[in-house]
Amino acid sequence: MDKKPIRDERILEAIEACRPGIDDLADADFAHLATAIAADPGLEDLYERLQAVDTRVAAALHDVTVPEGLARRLTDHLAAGRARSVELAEAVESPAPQRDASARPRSVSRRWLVMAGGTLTAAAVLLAAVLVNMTRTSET
Amino acid sequence: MADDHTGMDIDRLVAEHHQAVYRYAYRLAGSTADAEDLTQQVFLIAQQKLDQLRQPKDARGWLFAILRNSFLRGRQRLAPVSTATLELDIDSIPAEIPDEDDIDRERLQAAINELPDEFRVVLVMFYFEECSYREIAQSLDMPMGTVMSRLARAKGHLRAKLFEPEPTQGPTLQPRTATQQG
Repeated sequence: MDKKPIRDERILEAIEACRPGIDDLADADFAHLATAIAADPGLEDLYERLQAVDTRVAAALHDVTVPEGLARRLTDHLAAGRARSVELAEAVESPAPQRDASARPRSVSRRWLVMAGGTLTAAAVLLAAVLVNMTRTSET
Repeated sequence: MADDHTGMDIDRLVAEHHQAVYRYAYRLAGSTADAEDLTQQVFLIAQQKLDQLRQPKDARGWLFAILRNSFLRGRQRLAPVSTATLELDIDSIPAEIPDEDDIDRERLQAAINELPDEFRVVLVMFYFEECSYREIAQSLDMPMGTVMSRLARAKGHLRAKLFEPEPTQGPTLQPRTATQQG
């Protein structure tokens, strides 16, 4: 009947911050709350009830059914992630494209072709000159 | 994929902690599909950053931290309850303590889902991780006064949804507070 409502927000927030099953009241941070509770049986009752309710709520909060096969799905997903990482790493570390390697011998053989062609042309010109010279000599 | 520093490997982390991570994810995300996606994301990040894990005993807290960060970064909440409606509410503490089995799990999750993310994370850290308000403030880089305020209001919202009688029609229903008023 003559119970006064608790209106001190600091006290109320401190009561709410006390964890169930852990003696937070012994913490220096809660010294003002411990003093207030010791002096007020109504506040002590409130504290006790809240601790009991919080214990039940915390237990209910942990009560979640874990889906079947979750661990397997997780490890499969992680293995796939690792495989992707390896593929990426290999793509980054792979040697320069093959095109460059094959380009070098091709340019070398082309050089040889040019040189051979040049030699043949020179030989042909020389031969022609010799033949012309021989024809002129036989006419005289 | 064993990490040389800690001797931990990702498959062992999954085996030892996937249930706790999933349960935590479910309470934050609010649905089985989102919780599984979030759990996958957590272990994928853990696999990439395994070298950051210094001690095997820290694994659970480390995974929970990854989970909280992933949740907060990935969320675009649509319509949580307005923070203005979240009040300090000690009247919602029931006079008679309910049994754990009396707590309706669907109502519990529905009430959590209604909370804005920044209240929800604080609440789940308190109940699920058993973090002190100081630890919550440090983890979330938030003033301690803000943590206490959010925690008290989130808890009040949860109790109001869990323990206040659902509105029913009928002449025999008495207001819960009728006997308490002087």
